[in-house]
Amino acid sequence: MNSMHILLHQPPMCFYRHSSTSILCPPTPLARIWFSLHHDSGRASMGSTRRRVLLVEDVEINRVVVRRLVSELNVMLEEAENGKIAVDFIKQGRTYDLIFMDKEMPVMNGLEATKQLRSLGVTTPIIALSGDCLPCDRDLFIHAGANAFQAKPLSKIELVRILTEYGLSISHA
Amino acid sequence: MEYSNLRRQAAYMKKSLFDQGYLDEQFYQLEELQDDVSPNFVEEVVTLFFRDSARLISNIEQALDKCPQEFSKLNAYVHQLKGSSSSIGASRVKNECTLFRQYCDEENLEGCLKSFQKMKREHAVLRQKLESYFQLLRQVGPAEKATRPSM
Repeated sequence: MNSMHILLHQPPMCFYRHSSTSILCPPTPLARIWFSLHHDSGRASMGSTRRRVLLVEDVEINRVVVRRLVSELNVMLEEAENGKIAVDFIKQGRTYDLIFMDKEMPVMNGLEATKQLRSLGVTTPIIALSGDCLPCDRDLFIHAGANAFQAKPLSKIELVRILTEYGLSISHA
Repeated sequence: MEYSNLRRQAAYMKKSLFDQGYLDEQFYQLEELQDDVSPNFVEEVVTLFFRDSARLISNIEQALDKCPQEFSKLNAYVHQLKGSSSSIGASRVKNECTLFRQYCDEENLEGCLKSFQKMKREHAVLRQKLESYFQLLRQVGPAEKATRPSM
């Protein structure tokens, strides 16, 4: 059994609570490395193959359908009801492998949210979603920093194509 | 015998909904998401749609009554209704929403009022037809995988 195997598979034996963060931490250096690899907050870790996708969409039914679509795929989905919530998520330090961004939303629309995310230095691929698909909308979104523009509603075939195109593992859960 | 009659009736009912333009391809997409883990997924989503859409239609009605010139508000409500209609494949309702939004962009109140009445009618008819369809499906038994009718 090599040291990497030990590193990746040794379970923490017991935890103590870190005084400044209140996070439960494993005691030994080896266990701390294991813990860090598998529980790095907000990021996909070395041991995990689940990609993190953010869906920014105000209409609940649309979120329900996409949730069901991704439930069969090896993807962790988070949801934001408008662009401002999405921007706040990023400001909180959350990271994603892909972002689906609806166009029309209350509080902050998709165009503005895309601009703000790019100005914050977010390089995550952003796929704009719209029910209208007008060329002018597409151009505005691409100019704002979106990587692609997709018609709604999103079908399973299109979802899998997009996830594959942007390098997200789509092996079934 | 009775069971196969019910299945035939359900299939015919569904085909009519598509032939008459009430539903589109998106409804098949929803059916394909239904399985043993989520056996009633389609009915659940459709129920959610009618719950939300009834609220939105009520909001639009109040807005048209109290502040009819606030076209941006009307547009925002109808945008939501269009989005959710589109997600369940409610084709006629979705198309009427598109027309309504065009009237909003033109600030054509008369057009909005006419379109809204048609939207309500399409919504009510679809609701009644889908309620009958799901009632029949419940009699048929466990959900089957989606099957598109052969051309």
